[in-house]
Amino acid sequence: MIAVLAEPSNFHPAAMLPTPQSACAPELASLLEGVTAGEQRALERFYRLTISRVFGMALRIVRCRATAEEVAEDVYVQVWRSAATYDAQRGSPLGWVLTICRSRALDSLRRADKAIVDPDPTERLDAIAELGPGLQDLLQATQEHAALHAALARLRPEQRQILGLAFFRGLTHTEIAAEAHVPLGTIKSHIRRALATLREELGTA
Amino acid sequence: MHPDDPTPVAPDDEAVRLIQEEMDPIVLSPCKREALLRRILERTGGAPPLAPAPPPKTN
Repeated sequence: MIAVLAEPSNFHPAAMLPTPQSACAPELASLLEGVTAGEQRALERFYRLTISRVFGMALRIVRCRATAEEVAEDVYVQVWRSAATYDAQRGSPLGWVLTICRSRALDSLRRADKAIVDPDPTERLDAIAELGPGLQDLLQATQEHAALHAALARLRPEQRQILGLAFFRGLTHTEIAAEAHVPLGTIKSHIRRALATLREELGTA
Repeated sequence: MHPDDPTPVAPDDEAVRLIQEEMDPIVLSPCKREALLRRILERTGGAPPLAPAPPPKTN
């Protein structure tokens, strides 16, 4: 069975600010057009409007401020290089840059994992519980967004744990099942129910 | 994955996408934020932004 974290995470964000209301999608999209045209000022403005979100995402995944800064640096260099690939039909500019950030942060996490000697397989389940964010992390990370926070709080602990592993560790459903020695169907069932709850609570069904 | 490929690691996970854009921000200190911006602008070929002018000295 999935090991559920009994203790809250020891991760405490140092400082929090509300989401900048000024970082609206049209402005960010316009700035990406400027970045595509090679305008450094557009990149700078885009950075100032989004860095707190990008850094927040990176830090929650890599859990080291210095590494999170490195990830953020790489993210904006990638924004500079590939702003032309942003497609408004596929999502918001913020979603686009956060997707880049999550991908970069998980890459960084995996590189760090490879540097650690693989533990005894029998200890892996405990290792997931110790390293895998879940119960408290998702709640901590969404305190300013009441609807999502409430929706996550309504999930069963194992559902939130699985979402945390998928989000913060980038584990696929198959990998979670393998690591936790739980049938893949059970994992998928938990995810499906969790998603249904989130959609219901957030009105996105 | 190509380093410039922004494709999410688990693109089929809608729950992850739902959470992603609603995650709370974490603020960098002003000096770290400006230092990071300078490194980014240097890497992207631009001149670093001008530092704020110091306040005039008063005797």
